[in-house]
Amino acid sequence: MAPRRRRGGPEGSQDGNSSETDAPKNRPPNTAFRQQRMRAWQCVLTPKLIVSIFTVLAAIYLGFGAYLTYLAFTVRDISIDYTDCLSVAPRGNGTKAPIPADNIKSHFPSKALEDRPSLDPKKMSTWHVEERNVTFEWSGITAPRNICVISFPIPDELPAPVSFYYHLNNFYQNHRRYVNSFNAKQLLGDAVSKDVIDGSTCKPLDLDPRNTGKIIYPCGVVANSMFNDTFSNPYNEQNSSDYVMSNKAGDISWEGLKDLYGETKYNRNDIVPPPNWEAAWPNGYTNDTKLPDLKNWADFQNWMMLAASPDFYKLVRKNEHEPMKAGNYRIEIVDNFNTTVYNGKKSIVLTTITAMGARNIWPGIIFLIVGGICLILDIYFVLSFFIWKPRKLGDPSYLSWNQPSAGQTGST
Amino acid sequence: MRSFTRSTAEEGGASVDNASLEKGINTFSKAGILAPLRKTGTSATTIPRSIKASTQQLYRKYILELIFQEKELPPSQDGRHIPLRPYHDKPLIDERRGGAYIPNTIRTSRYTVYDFLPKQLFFQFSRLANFYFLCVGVPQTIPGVSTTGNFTTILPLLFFVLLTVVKEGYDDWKRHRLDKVENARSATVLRPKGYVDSRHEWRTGFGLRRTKEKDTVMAEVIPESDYQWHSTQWKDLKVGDVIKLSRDEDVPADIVLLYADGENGMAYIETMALDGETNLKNKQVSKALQRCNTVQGIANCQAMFVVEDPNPDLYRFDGRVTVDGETLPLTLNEVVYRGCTLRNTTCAIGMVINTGEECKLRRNANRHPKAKKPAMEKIANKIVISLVVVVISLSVGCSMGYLIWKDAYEHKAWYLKHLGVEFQNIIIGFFIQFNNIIPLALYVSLEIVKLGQMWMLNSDLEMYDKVSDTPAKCNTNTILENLGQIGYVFSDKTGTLTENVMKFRKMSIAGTTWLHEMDILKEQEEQGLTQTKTKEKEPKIMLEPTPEYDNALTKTATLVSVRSPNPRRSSSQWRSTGRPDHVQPEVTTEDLLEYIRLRPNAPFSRRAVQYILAMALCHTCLPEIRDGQIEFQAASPDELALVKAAQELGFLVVQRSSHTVTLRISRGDGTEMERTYQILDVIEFSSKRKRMSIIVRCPDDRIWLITKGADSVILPRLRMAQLAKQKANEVRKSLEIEHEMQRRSEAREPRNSFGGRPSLTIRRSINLGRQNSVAGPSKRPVTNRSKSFEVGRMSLPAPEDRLRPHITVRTASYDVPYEDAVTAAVPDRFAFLDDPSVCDEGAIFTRCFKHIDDFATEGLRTLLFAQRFLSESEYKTWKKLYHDAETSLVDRQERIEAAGDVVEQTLDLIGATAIEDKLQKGVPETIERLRRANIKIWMLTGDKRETAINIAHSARICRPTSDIYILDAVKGNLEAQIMDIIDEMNIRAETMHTAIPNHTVVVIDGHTLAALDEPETHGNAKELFYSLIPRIDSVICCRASPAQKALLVTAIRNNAHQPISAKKKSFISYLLTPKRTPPLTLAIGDGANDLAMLSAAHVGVGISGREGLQAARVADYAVAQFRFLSRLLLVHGRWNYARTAKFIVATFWKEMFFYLPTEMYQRYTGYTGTSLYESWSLTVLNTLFTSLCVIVPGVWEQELSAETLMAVPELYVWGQRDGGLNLRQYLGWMVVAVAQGVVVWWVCWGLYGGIAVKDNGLFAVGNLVFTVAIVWTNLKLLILDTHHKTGLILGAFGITFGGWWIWQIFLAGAYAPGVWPYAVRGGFFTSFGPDPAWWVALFAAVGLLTAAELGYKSIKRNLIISGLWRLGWRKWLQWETWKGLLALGRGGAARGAGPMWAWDEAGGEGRNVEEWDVELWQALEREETVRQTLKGMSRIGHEGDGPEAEEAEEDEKEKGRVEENSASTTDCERQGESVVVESVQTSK
Repeated sequence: MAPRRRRGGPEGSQDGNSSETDAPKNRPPNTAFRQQRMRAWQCVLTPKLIVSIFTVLAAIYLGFGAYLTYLAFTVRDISIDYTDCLSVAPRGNGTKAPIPADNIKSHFPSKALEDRPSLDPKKMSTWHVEERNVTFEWSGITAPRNICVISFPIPDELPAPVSFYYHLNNFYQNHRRYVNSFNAKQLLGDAVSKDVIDGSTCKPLDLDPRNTGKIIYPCGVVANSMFNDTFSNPYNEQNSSDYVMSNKAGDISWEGLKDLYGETKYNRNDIVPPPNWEAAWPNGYTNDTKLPDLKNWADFQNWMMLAASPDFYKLVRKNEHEPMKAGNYRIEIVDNFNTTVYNGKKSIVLTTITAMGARNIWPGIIFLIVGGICLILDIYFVLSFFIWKPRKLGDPSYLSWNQPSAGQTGST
Repeated sequence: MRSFTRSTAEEGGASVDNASLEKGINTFSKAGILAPLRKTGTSATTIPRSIKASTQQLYRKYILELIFQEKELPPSQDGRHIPLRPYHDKPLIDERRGGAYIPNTIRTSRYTVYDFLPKQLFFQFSRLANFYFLCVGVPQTIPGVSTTGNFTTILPLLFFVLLTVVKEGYDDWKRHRLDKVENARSATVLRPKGYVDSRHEWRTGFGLRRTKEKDTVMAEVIPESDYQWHSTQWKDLKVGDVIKLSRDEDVPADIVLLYADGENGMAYIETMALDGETNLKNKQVSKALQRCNTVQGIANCQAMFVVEDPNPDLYRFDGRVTVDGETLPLTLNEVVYRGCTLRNTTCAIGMVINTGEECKLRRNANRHPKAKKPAMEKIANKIVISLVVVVISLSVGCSMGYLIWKDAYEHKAWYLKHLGVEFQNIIIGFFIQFNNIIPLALYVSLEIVKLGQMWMLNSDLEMYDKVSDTPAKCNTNTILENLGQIGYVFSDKTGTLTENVMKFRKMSIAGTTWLHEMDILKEQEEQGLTQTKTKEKEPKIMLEPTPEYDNALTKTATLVSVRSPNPRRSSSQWRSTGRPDHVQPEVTTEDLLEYIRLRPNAPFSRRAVQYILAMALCHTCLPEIRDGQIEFQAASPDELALVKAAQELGFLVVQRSSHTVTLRISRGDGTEMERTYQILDVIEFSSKRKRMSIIVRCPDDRIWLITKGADSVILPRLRMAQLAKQKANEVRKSLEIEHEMQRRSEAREPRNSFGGRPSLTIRRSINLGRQNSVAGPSKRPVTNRSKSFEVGRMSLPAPEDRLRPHITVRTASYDVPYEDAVTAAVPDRFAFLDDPSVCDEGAIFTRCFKHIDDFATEGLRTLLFAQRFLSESEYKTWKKLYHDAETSLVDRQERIEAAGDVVEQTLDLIGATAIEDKLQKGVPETIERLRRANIKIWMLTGDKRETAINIAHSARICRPTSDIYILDAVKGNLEAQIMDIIDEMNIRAETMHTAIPNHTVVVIDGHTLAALDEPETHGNAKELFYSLIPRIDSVICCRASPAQKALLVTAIRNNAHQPISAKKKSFISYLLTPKRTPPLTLAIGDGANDLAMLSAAHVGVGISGREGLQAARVADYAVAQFRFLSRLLLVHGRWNYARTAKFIVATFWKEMFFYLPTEMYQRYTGYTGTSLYESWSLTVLNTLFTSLCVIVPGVWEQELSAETLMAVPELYVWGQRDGGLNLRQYLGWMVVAVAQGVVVWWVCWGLYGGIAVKDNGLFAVGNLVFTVAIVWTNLKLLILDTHHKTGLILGAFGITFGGWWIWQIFLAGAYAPGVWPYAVRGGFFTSFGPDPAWWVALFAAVGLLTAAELGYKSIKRNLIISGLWRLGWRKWLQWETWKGLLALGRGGAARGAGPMWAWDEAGGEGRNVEEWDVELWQALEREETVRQTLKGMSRIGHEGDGPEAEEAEEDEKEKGRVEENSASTTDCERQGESVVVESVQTSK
């Protein structure tokens, strides 16, 4: 509604003073806008309005809530906490131990569990530790490492897409100084000079702590603390084949993330890896090793996407197309990452994905709560307005000049 | 902050400044003598006050004296000594300064070029908010401390401070310019021949020739002397200069008169600008200076003046003049102050004694008014302080959290090694992060809001005066919301309430009363028929250029005779504004003339002619012919009115010299004759005598003494004084009884919560009206009088004709049916004149006094005329006595008075006159409205007491039933007087058996006000007086000087607080009890004499639209008419108050709501201070996305329509009681903010924060919360909370809502590529944007909040219906309450009488109009019928003028009596019955 503006010109004659031929100079314009007379929607909550609003709200939220709840319940997933694997699980070939039931959470249709009790994840999962040589993909170094082997059954097929997350708990990626502890330019590939890095936000991991004067690449606490357990594809013991899940950038990290990284222009001799990357680069960036290819290292990129919560999931593998058949699976985890020191936990999670992501019943519940509140209020208002029929709010028939009191006066 | 109130210490005289006043009050408080009715709690404030006082002393000592170098000057030993010389070669030396006297420049500007910046910076940063943000902004610039960016506080702060400083500078520059104009006005001063101002030469050098040429032309050489009259500028005048004034020239400085060319060296001056009085004052040259009538005389006269040091006392002047060894005192009578205007005197010469800022006028001006601050700012400041506490405790709490977390976790976590944060960084970081809970934008957006409000106010057509083409104007936009909280209105009288036009209105001759309305008819004719106007006016205006007075006379006189008899004889054109119910006399003066013509020899006719003759003779006016018209020069407008009335009645004064007065008398048959009366003596009016007399020799040689004066002085001098007195007493007694009856009936009326009785007489009349229409013929025959009532009513939606009840006794004798036909020689309507009582002195007295009393309550000024014929010998004897007195040198005045007293005895009563001081349009209606809005109206005037009371009556400040108490220091101890008043009021309240005190008016004069400050003579009268004030409805303050007006306003401002409950309270409950803002004061005035008052009050309103009214310029608001005040307060005041209050709470709410999630989030970051929000979004939050939602409603919201607010003034009480912004409101909003913030956080966090979603990064979650916050803030504030949703509101919502998504897109695209803690780039498109979970969370949060808010509102609505809203918590513990809630009005239906306001049962008491919930009014407004009625009610008194509208207003008000419990309760029926019964009795 565009306010019509006009100066008090010829229109000034509209309101009665047509005799005044000379338009007064100081007369404020007689427009709806300037006179605060604009048309307005003065919404007073009338019973009808209240009831219709609440009916609509209740319908929308209850319906949608029901759908969301249904969606959440269709999700099939399994989550295995392997924090204590190295300390608890038996070492050596052949010896397997069942994983404590507390460490396992899974959601499958109960019918599947009843049909195939041998595939109950809580009861049938086992773990053990092996030690063998492992080649680190991003450095090319091969070294002996402890491997936690987790065998678990999938009682029912996980329809595609299937996602493979690791889940860290009690890890503060959102620490005030942690969140800034990297150098964006360095990550983009620039050979950021030592002077810039020294004392920057990357501190304390700006320069080589062994006082070689070399720059840490990638510098900062975030890169240093990168989660460095590696996971194999799930191996289906039934048909003895991998259930292949991609861990390529773009598959597990979102589009555009790649643009934030580049091949570094540093001279290999000027830089050292962060101290915690020792497993993959035990002797630093030597001629034997590859430099970290940040642009394609999806796990790294995902790690650098700082989680808001100290309890977070990060995607490591994903299969968009094939369902994961029921059966026994085995995942080998190169266990490098120490979480016990700070009382953290780490788990692997295999889950199907809906439009709403992994299993989360809260949206549905909240929608149902909102809808429920609306429904209850709606019922109350319907009852009160249309069944009990109170008087109107602001009923003019109660004003004194509408009161038929003449009869009373006449009688006196 | 009293940064620039330069307390000016006064030397000797009364002091104006606040500081000393407060000090004075302190002394009282400290003395601990608390009046019985003064409640405890006052003493509690003593300690802070004494601290305040000592701070002020320190302030004065160090800041004022050291920084501003304002030293108090010591008083001089013996005043200033000024020798009289035509010209002083060297400037005179001021003994006190040791240098020259200060120049005659004035300065109203506040700053100079040099001190502007430091003063402004000091001022700006002494504002709490600015200081706070300075304290936050400075540490924020230190890198590494802030987690939200470095310059986000300091830059906007500096920008806005700069903006304010520039605005101040501009304002002051304007003041500078005005000063320049004033200082450059030209004056004529005596200078040696050939004198050239040195300055002018200098200027010529720079090419400014213009000035010089003009000046040299103006110089007037005086023959035979070495001096010339030289034209100079006001600023160049010096003490000791001799200046010449011509007629109508303003006096440039305080001068002592040396010469005036009036009779006996008399000069007439008008002191309107000084004290607001309009009658001319005469000043006389001191006898000692009679030789100084020429320049030569001045040169030869070796006079030495000794005058007092400059002081602000306008009513006293001490000085002496020594000429040739003879010393005479100099008093007020010989001195003319700056600001006066010379009138009726062609020329006067004076010597300058005070210049510039030392002039009395300037000493009375509030020289450096402090910038006004809105009262709400106090509350806002308190909120800010409480929020500072919140911020600090949050910061400290979170910091503690970090310390704990650090111990428990951080040092164990290998990945956080060496990442610990120092404690000070943590705490300061938190402080900076949370400091935005106190919104920086508040003060800035508030400025914008107020600009908008100001703009809307300025453009209101309802406050635009067509006649003068003046819209309302707001000069100070900071205090717009104060308009909604006014508790006291201080009004000037002349020019504000009245038009300063006196009209002769009624006469009482021989016990009959006649209405004089020729002027009204004339006006109507002029307005009505354009053609007749030109026809009739032509002879008046188009006179020959040769102003031959004879010619002029003929035409004017014929005009009068031609017009009568008027064919349209509707009797009561005029009705008094004070008592519109009053029946006016049937007969007008035109009828009188007709009767005289028909029966010239009837005894009554003779009396009437004598009466008119007396009016034409007994005065001191001078006829003058100007432009062919006779105009009168009168010392007072009253006299002018009388002479003009005599002219209209055919007795025109055509010539007057000191010895004769010539009348031109037009006879009824159109012929004229001239008569010359010889003036023998005039015994002048003085305030002590209260009468004037003239002794004339009639053409038939009889010596005739005519006296006119106040009834109190004429009465004892009547021949039959005893009889007269007795009659007067009888009348008074019967009136008192009547008065009492009326009062008693009023006491039974329902009342509103503030003790008033809304529209009381009306309720009675409605029933009476019904009785007339329903119960057959009434006792009182409805005469055709009611026709005249109909006239104005037609346009108004009043369905039935309701006759007002009147007390028939009053007018019975004249209430004669009226017939139009004029056939008989003497029409029937004159039959009453044949009544023998016309000759019965006793009856005449009775009736005359009755009339006088009626006149007075109608607000007319009354004068009695009395006469006596003197025998030749008697006159001779007396003349000798009088001559001696006149020529005596000692006690001349006393002796003249004594002599006058001798002859003014055994007089015969001629009759009484009633003069109307014409009120401005709509004044009584406005005052009535304001009164109903619980605003106490004080009238402050320079006039004398009787006049003031009369005007108070006609303006309805006094009601007919009011108790009027007069405080007079002359009568004795004031303390006792006040105690008497209090006692009487208490007794009255007890005997009335109601809690409502009667409408009380206290009359006080300036002298008494000053006397209140003298504890030695009047005890703690002052303390008592101020404790009395809250109980009084109106105060009339007469004879008040400008400074006293200001002082009074300041005193009320500081002292008038609502009595605090006497209950002793614990400290906690003391803290929790919301303290109400003390009532705000508003001063309204038009003249220079009101300036001090205007700046002393919380709000100053000036009357604009006429030339040269300074008040309009200086005041905070300027309106063209007093009547616009009601709209200004009731509509704009309430709107702006509500808007600003809402704006403030909403701003605090949105900040609290917004920052709560990030606070909650700290728990998940180990309390390290990581912000949930991305910093760029954060920076623009307040400017782009949450500004419109508070600013737009802040400017355009109308929670109730203007019509409703005007129609139901009681709604104004809401603002006075801090209904919009108080502790409860604030806490409520804060609780809501916290609750909603927590809900938003948990919903967002639960749905999106910690789970395996596509993007669980900081930005995705933060942005989700941010989006929810923005959507909800706008949705709630614009759509859900704003009642008046115009296109602007919806547009604002659209812009902000759409803008946010544009911002999202922009941010996602524009963010620099690279890794950031907040993964903004592309996020909206690729990561969280396409994720349905994110949107689901958004809708869940917003939906939950909406459902909760709507649910709350609907339930509240239901509670209001069922009367359970605003119940005490105890009620909620009772089952009944819950039953009521569930039944929801079913009870009413069950009773079969229809539903009802259930709070009668639940709440136990009915609510008054002003206590109804806004929702109820909003619902009512939607009803078409109600809206129409409200519209009709709102128009009254605003547009309509004249008594008809008035009548209609009463009716409408009656209709507007919205009754909450009238539906069915028997209680109500009873009430109705009793009212009816009572009204019947009254009408009997």
